[in-house]
Amino acid sequence: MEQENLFEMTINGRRVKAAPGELLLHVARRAGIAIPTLCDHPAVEPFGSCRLCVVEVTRESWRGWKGIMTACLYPAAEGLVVETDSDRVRHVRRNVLDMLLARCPDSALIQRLAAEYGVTRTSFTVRDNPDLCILCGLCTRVCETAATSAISTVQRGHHREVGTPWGGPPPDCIGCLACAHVCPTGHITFQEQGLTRSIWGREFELQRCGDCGKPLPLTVDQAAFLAQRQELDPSYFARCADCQRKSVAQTMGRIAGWQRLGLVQEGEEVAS
Amino acid sequence: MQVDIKPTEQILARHPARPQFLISVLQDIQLAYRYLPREALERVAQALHVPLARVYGVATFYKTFSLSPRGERELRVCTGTACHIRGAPLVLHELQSRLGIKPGQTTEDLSFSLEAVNCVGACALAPVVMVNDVAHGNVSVTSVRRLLKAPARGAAEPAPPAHDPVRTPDPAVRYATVEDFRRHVAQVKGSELATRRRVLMCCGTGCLAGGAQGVAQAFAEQLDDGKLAELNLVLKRTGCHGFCEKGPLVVLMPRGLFYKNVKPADVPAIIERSIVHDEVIEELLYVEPSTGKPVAGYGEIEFYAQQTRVAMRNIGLMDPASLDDYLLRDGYAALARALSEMTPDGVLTTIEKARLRGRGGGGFDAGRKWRSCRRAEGEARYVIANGDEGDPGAFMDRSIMEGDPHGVLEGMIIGAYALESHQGYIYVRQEYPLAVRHLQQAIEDARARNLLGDDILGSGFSFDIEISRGGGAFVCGESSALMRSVEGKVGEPRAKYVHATDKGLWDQPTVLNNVETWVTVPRIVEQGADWFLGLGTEGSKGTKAFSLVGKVKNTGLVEVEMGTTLRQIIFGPGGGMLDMGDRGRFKAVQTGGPSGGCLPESMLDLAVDFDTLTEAGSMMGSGGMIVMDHSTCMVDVARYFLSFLVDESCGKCVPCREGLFQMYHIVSRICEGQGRPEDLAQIEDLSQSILVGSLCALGKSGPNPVLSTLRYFRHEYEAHINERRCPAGVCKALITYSVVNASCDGCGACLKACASSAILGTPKKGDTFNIDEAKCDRCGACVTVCKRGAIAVA
Repeated sequence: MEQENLFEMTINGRRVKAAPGELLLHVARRAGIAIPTLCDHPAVEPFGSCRLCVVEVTRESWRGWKGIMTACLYPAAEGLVVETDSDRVRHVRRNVLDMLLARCPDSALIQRLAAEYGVTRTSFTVRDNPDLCILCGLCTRVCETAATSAISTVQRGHHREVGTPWGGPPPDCIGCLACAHVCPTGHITFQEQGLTRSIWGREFELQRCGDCGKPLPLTVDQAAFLAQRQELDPSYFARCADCQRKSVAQTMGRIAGWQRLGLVQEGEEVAS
Repeated sequence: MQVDIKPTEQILARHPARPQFLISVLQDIQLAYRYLPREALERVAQALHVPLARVYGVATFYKTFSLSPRGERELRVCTGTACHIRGAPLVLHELQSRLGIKPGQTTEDLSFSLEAVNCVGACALAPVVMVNDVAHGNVSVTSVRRLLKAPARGAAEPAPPAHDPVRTPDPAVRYATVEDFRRHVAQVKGSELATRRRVLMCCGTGCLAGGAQGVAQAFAEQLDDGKLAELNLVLKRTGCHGFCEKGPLVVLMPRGLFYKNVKPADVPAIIERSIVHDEVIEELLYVEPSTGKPVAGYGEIEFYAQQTRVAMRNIGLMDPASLDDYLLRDGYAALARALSEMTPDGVLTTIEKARLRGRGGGGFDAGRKWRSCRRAEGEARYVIANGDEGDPGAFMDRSIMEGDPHGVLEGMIIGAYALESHQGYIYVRQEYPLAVRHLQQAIEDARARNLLGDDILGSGFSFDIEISRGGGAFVCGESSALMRSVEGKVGEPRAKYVHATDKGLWDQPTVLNNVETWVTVPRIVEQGADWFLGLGTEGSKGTKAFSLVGKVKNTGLVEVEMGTTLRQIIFGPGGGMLDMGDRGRFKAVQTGGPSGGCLPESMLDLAVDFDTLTEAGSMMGSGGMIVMDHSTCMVDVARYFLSFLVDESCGKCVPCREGLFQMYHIVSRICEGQGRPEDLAQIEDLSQSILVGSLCALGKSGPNPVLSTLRYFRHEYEAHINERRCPAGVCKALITYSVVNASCDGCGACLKACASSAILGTPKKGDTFNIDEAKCDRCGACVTVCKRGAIAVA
């Protein structure tokens, strides 16, 4: 964090320093204050959909009026006064978790979070055939940022769901599992058996080590995608860790050999 | 079956290959195929460089689109507020029964599709059903039969004006300089045509629904150019006069002779008697409700006399497709003045001084917004006109866009000059095809004359405007969602902690204002800020256009000074309550659309402006004003608005998506007689979290209708919960229909009208008729047909 341009603001009665444009969530974390989140993740831009990270914000020029804002998106500013756990904040969080419990009654994560706010059973009508998707949007957002935008949100309102084109296996998916990895509730699942990985109704062939043939933890499509995006040779991803180690050791041996034969000076660059 | 991909290729060829054109391309595909075939969307994803999943996401977000084929006749029943309280649910139910399909479905033979749609903006003719692009007003349970006989799309029916091709402008007229422009204006004003008498034929969507097309055609057929010259006459198709229920309207100027409910058969008499012989045709005159006497003059009709028209100053008095007509009304004079005599900062300062507040509902100070945008850094600045007008019951913006498109353009060009912006967009909702067409024509004409485009009037300032069509989503009226939609994405709002004036369209500084705000700008520049400050109240300057609909005698568009009271509007231009008797008494007025609330009789003397109604628990909003009588159940109204919001929620944030849905569940239970004592407390508790916790104004203001009805009509909720009784006699589960045999004359009309065969008896005088409660589904058809009032609802 740049030392210039830092200003002071207050969180939960403590004066802290922040930089222009910093988001309240990060300022709080640096100060050791935990704010619950569901739809926030370092790999993607903040979204503001779960509303769990709400905090109460005010400043002198607001003459006593206090706003409820999501910490993940609200920028820090000089003289800002923030309460992360006031009654109003807890009230919103309680209702949000209560509603999410009605949507996903079987989610261990939601049950745990709701219990922290005094909700052990939802006071609302439980969804028909509930699954574990809380519609945080992390999967679709990470797929857009890190992969191929193979999945998206479909429909709107309470019909909204995470889906694939025409509900079938998504043509653009590369089987990278980024979505499953970020999913907070375990709603997105995948299977791996032998050389095959399946997710979203599609089967992918796992990349094999070019030297020993062992399956690597990424798919052929994923390797090709990464190679293209990072402008690397696809073979970069085609060796397992053991074979990489052997190959490097062999290269080092070869270099030592050439040096002994006087073919190469020490320090001279050698193509591997 | 293989899909013919040629239409898709043609559509793609008409658009630049960029993601922002996705929605426009999909709309053309929907029109061409009557749905979105998979093969077409795969091709679109490829051509526009948009991931297929995103194309699919957009296709399923917007209601205009359908992934399965729609019928040859698409029946859209408007479920706007005015239509709702005037019987739309019963019309929908009747169509369902007759077609055997539910809303959202298509008949097996693909002849009919049925949809329940949002307000189509023809509120004065409630209830309204659209058959393809043609609006049919005052539809009743018994008149639906006629709708089902409507011809299929493409069959021999006159193409609605919305589909008329845009006329190519005359290349000879082009203004290289401001002097050129002013010279031409003087020429037009001094021309022979300008001095002729005028026949103004209202051809707004409302009057068209009433048959204005036929009236206009009759005049055109019977008066050729020679006859017109002989009679010193011009024929003008105009925009919406705002008095739709009395349409089709014909006004003869300059005398101001005002004729209502004109039919094509009346045209020969009007020509012979009124035009040739200057006589008045009594039968066509409007009868003033307050006096019971017919009124001949436009200026004497209370509905118009009590208005102060600023935003609607030109509508109904000119042909919106004629730039020359606009010039006759001093059009573009303000622009010429701004470009030649004022600096951009000077224009901005004028708007700041005038204290113009946005007319779209938010009421934010426009000058302040413009100033922030000017100060912001970015690569480009954008100017947007919000023509999404989604509030059910409101149609002011439709009327402005249809009837005075150049007024909107001029305001935007002046604003762009002040902001040094070079690109503007007008976002028009899907449901307003005539507005799109009129704006397109206006843009073509303005470009041709150098009023739009490069080096406008030789000033060195360049600015152009594009139209962006909505896809059927109320949430796209929210400014950040609207901008995403212009970008070709789903209409999901963003947090507004960083203002659009800093990062808006494509993250560039953007000013978005409602069309009513834009159309007011030229008048302020022309007349000066002090003139505007002389109208209205201390906090709310100027005038406001209202859509006054529901149970009043004169439904239509009313523009009055800010500060006029609800009572003055409803009982003045509104003419007072529509129905007689106990049930016809005033009960409530709903203002501000789904973001607003219902105010009771005790609040009628409140001044209507940006701040007063908000204190009382409602808000002025964009101007919708729906008058309700005692045949309306306020719990049903709350449920209606919640159902609307649940349908329109984008679904991004938890409090709106889940919270409003749960509230809808609770209020529905109450309407069905399953209310519990703890329900009201739960509604109030949940409302607080939705109010502060939602991401955008749709969610944040969502609880307002419930909270305001709870505040002023709590006893109705309590009757539903504690006594299982609906005092207004509306909630189906809590009412029974019965025959009052003393009044019955045995005609048997009810028997014929009943779709459920729930009425027993034989049509013969003296026979006792009974309604089988178990079979009766309370559709109301029998009440509608009974001429004796012999059906009781309790």
